Amino acid sequence: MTLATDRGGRRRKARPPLGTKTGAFLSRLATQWRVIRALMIRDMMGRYGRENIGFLWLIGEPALLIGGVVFLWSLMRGSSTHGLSMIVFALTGYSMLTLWRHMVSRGTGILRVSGGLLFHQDVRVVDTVLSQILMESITTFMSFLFCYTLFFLLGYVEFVYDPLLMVIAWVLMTLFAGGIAMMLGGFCAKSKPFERMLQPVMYFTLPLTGAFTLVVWMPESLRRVMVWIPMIQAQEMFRAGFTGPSVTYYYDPWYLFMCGILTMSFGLAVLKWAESDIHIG
Amino acid sequence: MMGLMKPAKAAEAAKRAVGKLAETGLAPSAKSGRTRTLEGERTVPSGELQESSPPGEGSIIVHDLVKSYHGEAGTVRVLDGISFDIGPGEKIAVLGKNGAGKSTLVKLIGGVEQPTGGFVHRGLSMCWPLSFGGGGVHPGMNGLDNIRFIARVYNRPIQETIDFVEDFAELGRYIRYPVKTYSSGMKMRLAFALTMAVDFDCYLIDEVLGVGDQRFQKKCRDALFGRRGHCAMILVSHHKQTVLEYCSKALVLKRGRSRLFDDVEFALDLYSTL
Repeated sequence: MTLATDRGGRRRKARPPLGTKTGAFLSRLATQWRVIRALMIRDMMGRYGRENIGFLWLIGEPALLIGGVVFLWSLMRGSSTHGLSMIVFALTGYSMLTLWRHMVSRGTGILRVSGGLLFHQDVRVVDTVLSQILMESITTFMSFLFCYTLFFLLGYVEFVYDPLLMVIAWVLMTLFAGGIAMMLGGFCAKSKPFERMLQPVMYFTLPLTGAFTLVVWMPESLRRVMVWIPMIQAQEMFRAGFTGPSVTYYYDPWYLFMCGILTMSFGLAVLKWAESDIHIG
Repeated sequence: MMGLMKPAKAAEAAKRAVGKLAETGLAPSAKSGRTRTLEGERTVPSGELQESSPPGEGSIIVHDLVKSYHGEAGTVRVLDGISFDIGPGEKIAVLGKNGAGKSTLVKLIGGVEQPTGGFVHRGLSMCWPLSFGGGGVHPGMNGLDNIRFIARVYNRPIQETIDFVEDFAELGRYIRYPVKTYSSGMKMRLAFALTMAVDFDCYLIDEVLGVGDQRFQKKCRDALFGRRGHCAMILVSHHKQTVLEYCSKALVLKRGRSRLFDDVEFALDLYSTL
């Protein structure tokens, strides 16, 4: 039952040059992007500061994790599995898994960070949330790239088959996981018990990310269930971009896209609904 | 239901804003040639209203603001139907005992928390509240990065902002250290300098003018009431002298209810008897 008038958010001098609605919309879009960019830089600088390698830890931390897991899996399960190089399998699998894990763990506190930032009239709750989601996605992808480049230079992996497909898979996963993160953030802000229960529940979603297996290795009956899970689809798509058609993959970009749009819109709605419960200090 | 409430409220806000404009002499008064059929009727040129000044532009309107929190001991209604307007350049004091709802009011006006009922319309560019916390500076970043962040958010030239703040805050080389290592006085200097680096039309000041050493206090006052003297201000303060000197109106809060006084001295007397 509130009316937050948007006009106050604009600086009076920075009124859109065009008197039209499109002009106003575009200038707001520009403002939002400016704010999101500023928030991303703030996030980056604020978390790691300028000591030693500074914000490069954003890439370094996940890269260490991914690299470590690749090494461990290679030791445990041998150099290849079902004709797929173990390094490729672990590198793609664990990168996606890290993205999912980071999104979820960020998601639970996504509304808590905004605090004093909202006093800046141009900063909206959705800006703080989007900047965090973007940041998480970009840095995890950078870590993947870092690890990949390292393995490539050492000669452990081939050049990727279809980079564009991988990037699209990553973007679609970000869309889906970002929507989930928004929902979780909203529900966590609304209910404490939900937040407590989330940790164990989210732990059990890890096998559902498809990092530990390919759909094609599974029996037919299980396959039919697995292809409905968006995370597995994104994972398959990502791997398909990496290895090419030498292995059969099951994915449908349109299905994934629809899932992403669905969770995103639902997530935005939940966010709006939970916004009234934000309590600072 | 929300959708249905909005237009009515917006219309009311517009009505009040128009009234405000007429009071301050910004809107042309009724054309003299035409006879007035209704008492108190005003004619505002229609084109001007719709194009150049959308309703409420230039003032802050707080309408029937209600905020309640849910706690273990039941629901607490911190603010219960607060209404007032602030025009351009108007300085208003908010008086009230501890726990009267002053800080909650500041949070709602600043737009950090959403009201349970009523609305706040911000037709002026609003400053973040200058309060003891330091006003939203990130403790993990150093002073320079905080300045850059503010410059980016408010679309200011970065180098210019840095130069201004370095000069105003007089933090010397400490500006390159993380803000969490600052003393509270240093934090305040940085936050205050940042608000001065961006031109705002309205400042929210929450009990802060007494912070810092004598010289910096004076500098703050000079900047705030001298160079920025034309700005609107919401001053939350227990300091009688400041309120008397600068404010033209006073809002007295008690148990979530409010009353607005044009006579600041009377309001202060009343406040002392609360």
